[in-house]
Amino acid sequence: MKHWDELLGKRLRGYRGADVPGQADDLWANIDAALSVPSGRPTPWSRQTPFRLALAGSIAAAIFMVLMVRQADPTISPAPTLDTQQSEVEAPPALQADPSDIAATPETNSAAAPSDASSSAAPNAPEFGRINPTAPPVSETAVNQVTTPQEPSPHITATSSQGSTAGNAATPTSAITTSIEAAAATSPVIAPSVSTDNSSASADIQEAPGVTTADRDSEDTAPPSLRRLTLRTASPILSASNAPLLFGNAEDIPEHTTFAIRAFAGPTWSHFSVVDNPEQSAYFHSDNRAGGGLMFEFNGAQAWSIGLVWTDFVHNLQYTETTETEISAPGVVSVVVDISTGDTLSINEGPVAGVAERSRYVDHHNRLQAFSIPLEWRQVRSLGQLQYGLGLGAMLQIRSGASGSIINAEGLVVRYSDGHLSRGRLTVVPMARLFAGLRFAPAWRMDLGVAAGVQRHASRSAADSPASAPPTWQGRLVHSQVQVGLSRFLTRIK
Amino acid sequence: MAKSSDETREAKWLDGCRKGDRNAQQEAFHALLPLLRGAVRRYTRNETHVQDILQEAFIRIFQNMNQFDERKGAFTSWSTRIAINTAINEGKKRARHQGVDQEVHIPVEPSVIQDMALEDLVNTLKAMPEEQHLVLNLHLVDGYSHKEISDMIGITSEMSRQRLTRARRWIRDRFEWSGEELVTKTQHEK
Repeated sequence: MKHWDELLGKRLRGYRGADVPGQADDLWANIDAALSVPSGRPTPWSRQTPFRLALAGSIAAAIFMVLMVRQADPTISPAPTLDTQQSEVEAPPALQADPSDIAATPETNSAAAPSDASSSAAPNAPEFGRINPTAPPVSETAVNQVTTPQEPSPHITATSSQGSTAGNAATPTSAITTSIEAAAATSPVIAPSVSTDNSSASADIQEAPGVTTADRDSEDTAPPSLRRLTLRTASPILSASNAPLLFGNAEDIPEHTTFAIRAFAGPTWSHFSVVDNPEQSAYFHSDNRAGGGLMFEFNGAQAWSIGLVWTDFVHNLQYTETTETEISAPGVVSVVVDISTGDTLSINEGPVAGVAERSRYVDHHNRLQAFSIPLEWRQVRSLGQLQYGLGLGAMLQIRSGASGSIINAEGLVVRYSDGHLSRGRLTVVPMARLFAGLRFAPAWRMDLGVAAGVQRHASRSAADSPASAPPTWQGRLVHSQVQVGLSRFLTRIK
Repeated sequence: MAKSSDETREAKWLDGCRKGDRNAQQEAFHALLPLLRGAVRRYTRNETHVQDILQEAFIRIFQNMNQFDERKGAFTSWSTRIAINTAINEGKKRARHQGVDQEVHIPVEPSVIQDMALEDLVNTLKAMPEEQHLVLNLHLVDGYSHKEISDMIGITSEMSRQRLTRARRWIRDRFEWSGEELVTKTQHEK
């Protein structure tokens, strides 16, 4: 004899359901259409795991920082740079005269330079720092203006085209020096001022005796080699432009002048406990989610940081809710038995009162989402390329959303939302952080840290809650985060 | 011989479906539809949801065909499991949106389980509380262990056992036992 539930199982296993006319065709048409979409249905971003979002944020931050570096680093930048180092123009101090003094010397003519400039700049305008030996020959008049064939610097071209010292140079060398200084003083970028028009440049040239054709030839055949130097700005303040930032070697960067941008993300862990009803705390279990942010770390006399962080804290309520209700079910009300024979005479059936017990298992994840502005003081130690330390501080937390379930006095689970929490959205959260980082490149550090904090997490007060609101409760949320990140060190030019 | 023929046919579907051959998919669809429809109906109280669940299940089957491993089991078992999971997930979603389940009132004939029309039997069992009905189907009909059930629907194994016990009690309370079935009941309670 088979057990009744085996029979039941066997029968139900064979159940196929009545065929609905046209159902198969409709169904296949829908499936066919869905399968024809090549990439399938995209998952909405809101359903993606926070871990993926955090990872995407980290990657985006890293890409942003790399792009910033590429813009800022002159060795990476494809833009042409001008050589403004004074070492290329080794004029005696006496010759580095004020332009006004130079102008008083009648024998020289700094306009000699524009002839070279006009011949070199025109065919090769972007290469301002070099003389083009294949440049078209200048006029004899122009050649005669060249007083120092060994130093036909293009900077002279720039200066003369501006007309600042034309016809006033005391000596050729001093003209070069002065031109550079004048150019540097007027603009960090000399290039735009270079005239590429041969005729106009030549027109500015004035005749000067004492220069031979041989001088011109030697100049044309042996152009001086000029080094490309770093373009510097007059302002030492960091800016978004590509010119001012300089990232040096780690040893070259004085620690007290540096600061860093740290992008991080990682899983969060949080645990909730009910302060005003500790017995209920047993039903709340820790759970994890994710968060990430950007910190600006300053290394002055004291190392401190400030930033913006987004975190999602989750804790888990697991609770079996039991309710009892009175029911009335058909059953045997009375049985009439013959006393003498013991036979059953009649059975009276009717409604029988009873109690139905209903259990509901609740497995709910309560959430708290917040933006935070952490302010942290750090104590940093270095061990070779390894940096480690402790951070202490506080976060100004701005709650952006919350939802969850809580147990009321009757032992029933009730839902709450963001509106049921305390009216003030700001919470100050004391926090601590242990961190370590590997300086794998002069200006880069890979970070790993653990941050922890504790905060109040409570409903509105009873007086402040609407009548239909969930019960009031006072709770405490302990949370932590594993932070995986990347730091980029920046410095200011003195 | 017939079994061998079925296996050959199934192998054809699998090859074709893995390559995205629409004809093979259609053939597999028609072959699987009665089985999956029966499974989905057992887990779904509202008939209007059956078609949506079936559609979702078939799309998942065809899109995840590469994950099927013949060494781990039959294709029909794998497909049925996908359909059941789809039905369970849909049920969870709808439970969240609808809250209280609708009570199904179907007159129960005073007959034994064996004699009852299968369609009536299925519909009668749907009057059971949903969580008990779910565990009953998963354990008694589809043969999942309590551990598997706990993983599938997110409850503990103990809770699964409790629900099965309540489901059995529910059935005993609503069916009138006689004849062989009464004997069976007596044996069971011993």
